[in-house]
Amino acid sequence: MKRALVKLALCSVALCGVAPVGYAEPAQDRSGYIAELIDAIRATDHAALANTRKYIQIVERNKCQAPEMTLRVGCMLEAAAQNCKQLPAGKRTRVTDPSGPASGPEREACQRASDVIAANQLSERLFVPNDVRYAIMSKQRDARTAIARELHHRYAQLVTELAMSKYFPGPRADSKALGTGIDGFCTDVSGTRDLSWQYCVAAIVWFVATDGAEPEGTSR
Amino acid sequence: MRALGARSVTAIVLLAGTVSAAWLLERFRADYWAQLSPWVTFLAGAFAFAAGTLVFVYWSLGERSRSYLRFGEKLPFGEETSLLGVRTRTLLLGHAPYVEVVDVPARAMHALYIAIFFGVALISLDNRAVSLVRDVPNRFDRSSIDYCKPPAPPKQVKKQDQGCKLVERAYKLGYAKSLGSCAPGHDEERQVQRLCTRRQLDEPLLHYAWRRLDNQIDDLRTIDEGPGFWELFTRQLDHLETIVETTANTVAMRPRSSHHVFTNLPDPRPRLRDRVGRMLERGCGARLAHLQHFPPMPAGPQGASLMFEQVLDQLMFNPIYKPIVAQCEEIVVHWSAPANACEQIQANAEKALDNLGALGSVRDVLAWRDGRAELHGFDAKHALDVATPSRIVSFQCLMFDDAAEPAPVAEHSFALDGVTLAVRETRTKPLTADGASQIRLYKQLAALLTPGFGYGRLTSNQAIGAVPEEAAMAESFRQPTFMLTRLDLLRDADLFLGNEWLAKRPDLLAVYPYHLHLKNFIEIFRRQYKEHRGRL
Repeated sequence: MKRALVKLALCSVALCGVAPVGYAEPAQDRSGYIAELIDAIRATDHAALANTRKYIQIVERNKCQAPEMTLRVGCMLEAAAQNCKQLPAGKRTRVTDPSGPASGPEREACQRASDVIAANQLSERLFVPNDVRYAIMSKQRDARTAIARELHHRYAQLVTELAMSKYFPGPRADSKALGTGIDGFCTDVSGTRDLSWQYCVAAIVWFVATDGAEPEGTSR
Repeated sequence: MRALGARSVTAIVLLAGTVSAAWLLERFRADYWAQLSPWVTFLAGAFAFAAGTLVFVYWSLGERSRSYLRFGEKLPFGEETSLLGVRTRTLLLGHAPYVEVVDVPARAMHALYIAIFFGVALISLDNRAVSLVRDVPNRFDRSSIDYCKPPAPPKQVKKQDQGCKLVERAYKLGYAKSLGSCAPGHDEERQVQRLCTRRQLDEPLLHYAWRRLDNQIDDLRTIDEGPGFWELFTRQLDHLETIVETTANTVAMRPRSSHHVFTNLPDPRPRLRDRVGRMLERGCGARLAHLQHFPPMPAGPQGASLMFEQVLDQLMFNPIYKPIVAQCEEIVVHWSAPANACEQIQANAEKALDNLGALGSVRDVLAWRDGRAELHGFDAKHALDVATPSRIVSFQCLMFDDAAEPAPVAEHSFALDGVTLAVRETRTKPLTADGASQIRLYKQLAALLTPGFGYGRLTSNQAIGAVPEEAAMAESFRQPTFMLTRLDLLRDADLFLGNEWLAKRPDLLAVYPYHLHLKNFIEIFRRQYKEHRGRL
């Protein structure tokens, strides 16, 4: 019995040593991060979320316009990070004491919400390609609202696919289980379709964490 | 003595056959029923009731069977036939009057036949068939027959414009010698209209039919100002055997090229059970369209072979990438080939290819090519369409060796049946489970299959300018924030152009945008492959 326990202990030590440090369990890390994203968006005040979204949209359309993806992404990362650092405390998240200084968890929540918003911003052209965009612009007077509505429909389709897939943990699952399900589904989607993992995750996380609420001004 | 009535047995067997066929054709799937139009079930039910009742009534299936089936020893008297040909206890078919025949009740028999015809109708009818049936009246609608348009009403004469009035006045006063474009009738140029060969509105049907027949006969006499029908027919008679063979090859969908890849990796499907599915498969496109972009190498001794197969399938056959360059059966992988297979082919092609099991398919394709060349000889315009032998037949060796050093692909020529062909060979280190091995395999197979294959910064999806250094990019992924947005930087980290740091990051490889770089690599490979290799 003792011998067996010693062997077991040696084996577990050996296994720990083999796994690379930092990303020993990539799938677990990913699903944990997705759960944090969902929680962060759910915890953020609607107005603050709308402001952050508006800010990132404006930055992406103006300051961060660049032909090279690297420059564009770098610029958006910088702008989003600055936004979370510079905004006055208490306006970003729904905290118990809004007048208090911005604490670490608040900043993290802001960064996570901004991460989802920025990824969604970068994927907008993929979910609503140029031909659809032109069709909307030629038919609709308020093209921006119509595009936002179309984007919302595309996210809803993706979430429906998740709900119908084997990865869906159930309607009452917690963020952690949902994160695992979203990661599995998006890994599958990115492995077989022309959709990047992060775009899939960002779209689903946004839709799920905002309870499928349509963007402001798009509800009929 | 009791026996089962032949009518009952036949009905049960027919019902079982129908149910099995419906099951095989996936007619019992819930999603099939969900999308089925109510018209299909209505028509199937109506057909089943009518046909089942007709058969039941006119074949008197409600009566007792005259013949029977029973299991036992053959009677010494009476007319009984042994169905299994054994003299002891066996299945017997007979019609002796003193044997009590047990049959299904008449109502049940009626129901059985209705069920059989319902199954047949469900197998035959689907939404498309029903919509075609419903469209039949429209097809025979008189308005859809192609008539010539009625003559257009005469156009209104334009009023003379101010300019012409001035010209006319100048002409009358003698200042101009002619009216030019203002002369009467000049603007009434008749538009040359194409002769309408369709049915005229007042044309009798018989006349129209005769006219069509006459035109067809005229077409038979001459084809594009080439040889006449009879001349062509007599020429074709001289080559009847070749025509029949070529047509048979086409109809049988035989491989239109014969490309062979030899490797010393073991067969990933050594068991017959694993191979049966692939052998029965007709076209692999549907299966390969859902291939994973970049699956990890499976564990076990067949892992490397399965990865090899995956990479070859992606490069050559996956129909989601364009252009399509080959069919699955046209590229044969020879597993467990000797390490010097290419040297053997070069030294004595006929013997080596025979030993390696490639000679038959190569000769078949070359013979088909010769046949096509012979037939194309009829028409000088198409003589150049026949592919050269080196386009449709090729040999490649990719050997895995611990001692292999990176080297370019070696190419050697040899002759087979008077035709000059080439064999290309390269050696590489054994495959391992990391992502770098798979990338290396993609590059080496691409270089082996396509002479002069090139893939670089100009053809990559990776941006040419403003690309951060690999070390800087690797460092940026160590930061814990903005993980989703940061992943977009991988668009500018093409694995096929280096970026070895990525191979050491399984967390990033799991979410890498393969669809961007892999798709680009494969499509560039295929475009280059098409320049050198092809099909008949």
